[in-house]
Amino acid sequence: MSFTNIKDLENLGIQKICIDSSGTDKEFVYVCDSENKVLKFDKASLVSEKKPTIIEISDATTSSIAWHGDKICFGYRKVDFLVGSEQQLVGLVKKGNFDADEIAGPLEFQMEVTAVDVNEETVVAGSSDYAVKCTNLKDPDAEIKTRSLDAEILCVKLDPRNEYVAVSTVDGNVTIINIDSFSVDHTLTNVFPKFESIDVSRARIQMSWSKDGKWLFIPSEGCVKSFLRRRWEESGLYRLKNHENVNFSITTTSQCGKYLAASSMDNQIAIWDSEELDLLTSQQFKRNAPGTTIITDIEFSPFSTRQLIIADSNKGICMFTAFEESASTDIAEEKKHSLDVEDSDDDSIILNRTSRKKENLFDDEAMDDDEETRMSSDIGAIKKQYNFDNPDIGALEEFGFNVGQPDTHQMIQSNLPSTSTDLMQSAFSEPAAPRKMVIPERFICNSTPADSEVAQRFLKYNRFGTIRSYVNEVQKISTIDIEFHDKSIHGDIHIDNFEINYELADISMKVVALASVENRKKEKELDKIEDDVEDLGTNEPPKEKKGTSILHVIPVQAFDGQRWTMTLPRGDGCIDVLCSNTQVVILTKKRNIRVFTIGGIQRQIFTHFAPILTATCFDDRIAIASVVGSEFYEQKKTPQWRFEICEYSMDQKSWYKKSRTQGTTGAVSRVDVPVETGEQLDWVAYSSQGKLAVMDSAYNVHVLSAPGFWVPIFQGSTVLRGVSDSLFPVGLTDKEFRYIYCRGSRTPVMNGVNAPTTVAWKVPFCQPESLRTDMEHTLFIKELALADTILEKNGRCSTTETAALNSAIVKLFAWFAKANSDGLAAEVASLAATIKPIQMLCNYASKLKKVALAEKVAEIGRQMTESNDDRTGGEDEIRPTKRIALATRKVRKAPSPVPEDQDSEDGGERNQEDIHSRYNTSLDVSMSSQPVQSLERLAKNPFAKGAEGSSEKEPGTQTSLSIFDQLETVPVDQRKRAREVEPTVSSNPTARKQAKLKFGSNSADEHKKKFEKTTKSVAEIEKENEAESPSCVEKPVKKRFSIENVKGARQKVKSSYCTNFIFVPGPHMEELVGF
Amino acid sequence: MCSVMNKQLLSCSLKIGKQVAVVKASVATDGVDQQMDFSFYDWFKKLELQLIGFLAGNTLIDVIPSVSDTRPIRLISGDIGPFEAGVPCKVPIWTAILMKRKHNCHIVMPKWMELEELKKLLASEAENDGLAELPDHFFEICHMLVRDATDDIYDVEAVKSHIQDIYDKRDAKLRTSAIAFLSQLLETTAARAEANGRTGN
Repeated sequence: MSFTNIKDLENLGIQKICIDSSGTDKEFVYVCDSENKVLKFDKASLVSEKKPTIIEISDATTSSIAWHGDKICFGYRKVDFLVGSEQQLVGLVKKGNFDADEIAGPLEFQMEVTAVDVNEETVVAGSSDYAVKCTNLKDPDAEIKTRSLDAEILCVKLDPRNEYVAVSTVDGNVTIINIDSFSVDHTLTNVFPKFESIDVSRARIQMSWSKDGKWLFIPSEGCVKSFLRRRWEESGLYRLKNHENVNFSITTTSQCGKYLAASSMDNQIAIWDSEELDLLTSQQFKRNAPGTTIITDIEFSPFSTRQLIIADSNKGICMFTAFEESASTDIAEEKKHSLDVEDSDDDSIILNRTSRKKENLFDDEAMDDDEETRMSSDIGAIKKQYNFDNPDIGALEEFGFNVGQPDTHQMIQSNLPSTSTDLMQSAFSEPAAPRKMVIPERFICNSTPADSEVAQRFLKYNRFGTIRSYVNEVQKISTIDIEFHDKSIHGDIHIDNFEINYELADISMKVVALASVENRKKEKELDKIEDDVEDLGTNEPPKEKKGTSILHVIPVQAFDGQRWTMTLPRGDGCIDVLCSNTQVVILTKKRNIRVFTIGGIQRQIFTHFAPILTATCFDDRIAIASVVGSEFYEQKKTPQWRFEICEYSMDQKSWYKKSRTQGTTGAVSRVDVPVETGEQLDWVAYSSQGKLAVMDSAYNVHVLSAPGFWVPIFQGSTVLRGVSDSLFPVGLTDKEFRYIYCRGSRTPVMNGVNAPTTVAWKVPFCQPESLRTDMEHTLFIKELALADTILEKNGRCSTTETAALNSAIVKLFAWFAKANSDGLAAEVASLAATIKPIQMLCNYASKLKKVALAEKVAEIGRQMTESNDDRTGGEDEIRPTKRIALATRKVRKAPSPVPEDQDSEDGGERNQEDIHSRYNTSLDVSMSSQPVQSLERLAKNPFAKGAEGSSEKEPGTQTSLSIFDQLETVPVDQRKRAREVEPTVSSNPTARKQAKLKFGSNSADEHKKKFEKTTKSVAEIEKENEAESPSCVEKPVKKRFSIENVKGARQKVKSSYCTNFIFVPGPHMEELVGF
Repeated sequence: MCSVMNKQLLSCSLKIGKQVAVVKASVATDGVDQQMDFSFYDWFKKLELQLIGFLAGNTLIDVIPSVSDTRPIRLISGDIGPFEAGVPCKVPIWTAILMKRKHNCHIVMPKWMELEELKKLLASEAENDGLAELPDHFFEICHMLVRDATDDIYDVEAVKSHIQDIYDKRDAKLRTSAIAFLSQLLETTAARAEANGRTGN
């Protein structure tokens, strides 16, 4: 940190520095004084003997100037001596032309202009007459907006987003004015100590906006205050040690937006990191010149991002180098500067320092720490020298550098003619150092992170038990307490851990495994002992050095379970230990995975192919999570990684039979892991049923379903009550997730009782408060459960889960049907996995007198049957013999009300279908379980299309009439007749009862008569349907109907238009529906 | 008589806490109901500590069982369980204490019995002139848990100390208010007697 030689300005008093706020011009700086001079400096004139360009403004300037692009605005006074008038104007000049004729006057005040600011389209100024005026520069006819405040204007500052202008006044207030309406948006009161009038001895309260306009920085007493945009709340204080009572006067922000500089009334200059609020540097500005010296303005130098330009009230201006730079860099910079004739961009020269040889730039000490990082630049070394080695500040981006982006200066260089080969070589001699990003750190699931300062921690806390480690180094006590949740498995185990120092552990139902990591100190001691033994004079070949990583296993439910210990080879120490009911697994430094049996037999050893992030195991499976590829970025700056879980199936009996050459991956399978944007993997575990589950750092839990997709079952953000709270996952069952809610910490409390919270799986469906969503949720969960049973090939469970799924489908169907959402109900019906519930649904729709829905469901049933037929026909080579039911079916074939001409068309097709349906084995299973009708009364394929055909046309053909079609077509009277002819033989009371509803008659003539009688016009039916059916918007009301209701419904059906439907109660329909 | 009543009233108030305040209010607003209040008072007198403790024992509390049993315990008052080791479930306090004595569970302290919450209650008690709102059966449950589940309470001594402080504060408030009430009652009685004497005269 140093100041350049102080150059003299023309006049005493307040000096205002201005640089191009658009950042276009980086060659010049203007300084406006309170007399009549505007000085134009370039770099040379600031640091060397070169004189600045002096611009005289008649008749007087007012120490207010602003510059944006080609526009320079300044406050000045114009006196007409002839008339004797005096004008207080804001002058506007373009392209640096200060000729009196070229100065425009967009704004005029009654008193002296004290502050001015300009941007691309707006100019705003304040005056001693308490007025703030603003106008649009782009529109020549734009009106001048005026706002009068309560005190003299100290500073006006336009928002970078051109929405607001901040105005500080001597009464200690800052007013935020909306530019569009020019109304006061907000007033910050008493932000700084008020004073009477503007004077050089008073603070100038020069505010500044952050680069993005998010914060407004206001100098105040003892600090610089930052206010958050829109809320206008005080969001941070930039303080300087031992300057609590000193008024800050000037603030300015660097063009990169990272730094905030301020000067105080006692000439202390400070630079902070504007985002982190960290003080980066501070320096006292001193002059030996006579008179009062007070800094009146500071600005970040456009020539160099590490320099400040300082102007004082004692005619002085100088540059303050906040961060030193090495001489060689300066030389290189000078070379480059000479190279950049017209398009020279000094900042880009500095940027290019990253590509230079660094060996000569810094001393060794600075390089030691810096060379291994991507911040390997001179700036990093400079900061290191001044103890600003905060890793967050070391990045080149902090200085406005664009790391990872094409070097602008190199691009400029490449476009220039090659004037000097050496220079070009030096510019391209070394490419930018590749970025190094460390992948997420390895962790152990269900354990408290290791911390040398923590006396107690959980080595493992899972659904089987807990393993606690207690260390008291002072008293030289270290113990491990092993507790099973279920004391009937094993009592508590207490182990002295002082000697071996186990740091890794796992617990399962049958075994407890402890492991220690490698210890260099112990290794040295061992080496020493071994060396002493060898020195005794043996000529034996040197033995392999003994390791210090020890595995200790405690079988708790094993035959003749003896505790055993295994020492791992040196250099391949343990990094994690896992155990399940069948195996103990060790993960080592060399990424080896060593598998042991519970008894201690060494089984497999293989090497994992990637860095191990974490691991878990279940029975004979091992899941290891790793990071795949390098980091990537979405919109956020935080790096993200892709995680992957590799699952090894280590069936002790048959693992070697799983060959990877047989079209599979052998015993290894890989699956990607879902994590939320910007989050990391936090937990991997198997559920009690062996399902793989993961949790990310946002506490979203996903379960790998049998079909292979990850299902979100828990969203931790919904239960977190505090920012510092966290969730510690304990375990997962097939329906529940368990965690410990940690208040104000990341881990469960060691003292006291941790009560796990159990929550049911909750898939984040929309509108969770709706009962419909609840049923949809249930349906989804049941489908997942069924998928699991299918994967496990568990027939018994599959039947149960299928029944549960059917139940969920029926409930949802009933809901939709009662809500008059026939389309949705039909969709639900199509979700049925088997044909079994279809008939129930059809019956239920008929009961609700929903003709169209019943037909649709019947159609779905037919389609399902057909697809089953096709599958069966294609797969079965040996066809079963014809059923007896087919013969009886032929006799009892029901007449069809459908016109005969349709029958003739479908005749051939029907024959074909009958042939297929004859061998429909799957239908046998599904229909045999139907208690609705006895077997011999059923068609062998109730859903076949041929149901519409008439038996009379082709008496010899095996007609397959769908049960749904029968329901639709058979008149009631014929059912009675059929009952007389064919008494029910079933002993099942339900079937007997339902047999009364038997449909079908041998008499076609009768049927025709009945049909004519019963068929009404469609219009009439619809009309009645509308009259009886509830409103579409009406929610279904839970109603429990008894058998009387059913009978009543039947009677109603008989007597009403719906005679072509017969309600056949399905199995436990009422129970399933729950009404 | 006054001294005796004062003594009994105080002893009763210590047992049942804020309910006494209700009785006191009724007496204060209508002195004619003196006899009825005494009947309340007699009823409260029957509520011995054991009985109140017994009633409080039906309060449900979380326990973390150390045993697993898929069959629930079926009782007239309702089912208890099933239990899964390590998974909290709610049981009546009397069951929890029985299980605790057999080392079959850990009792999860109610949230209001955590030290921070007790501090809040104590502060609330100190700030209010009247009696602060306490959880139901506060002292009874605290007493039972401190007695039988000491190892499940974190920083048990501090917890006991805070509970004692709350008790003392309420005791002091009741004592003060009871004395004030009785003195007022005495004045009223004396005034009436005086008035009756005048009327008689």
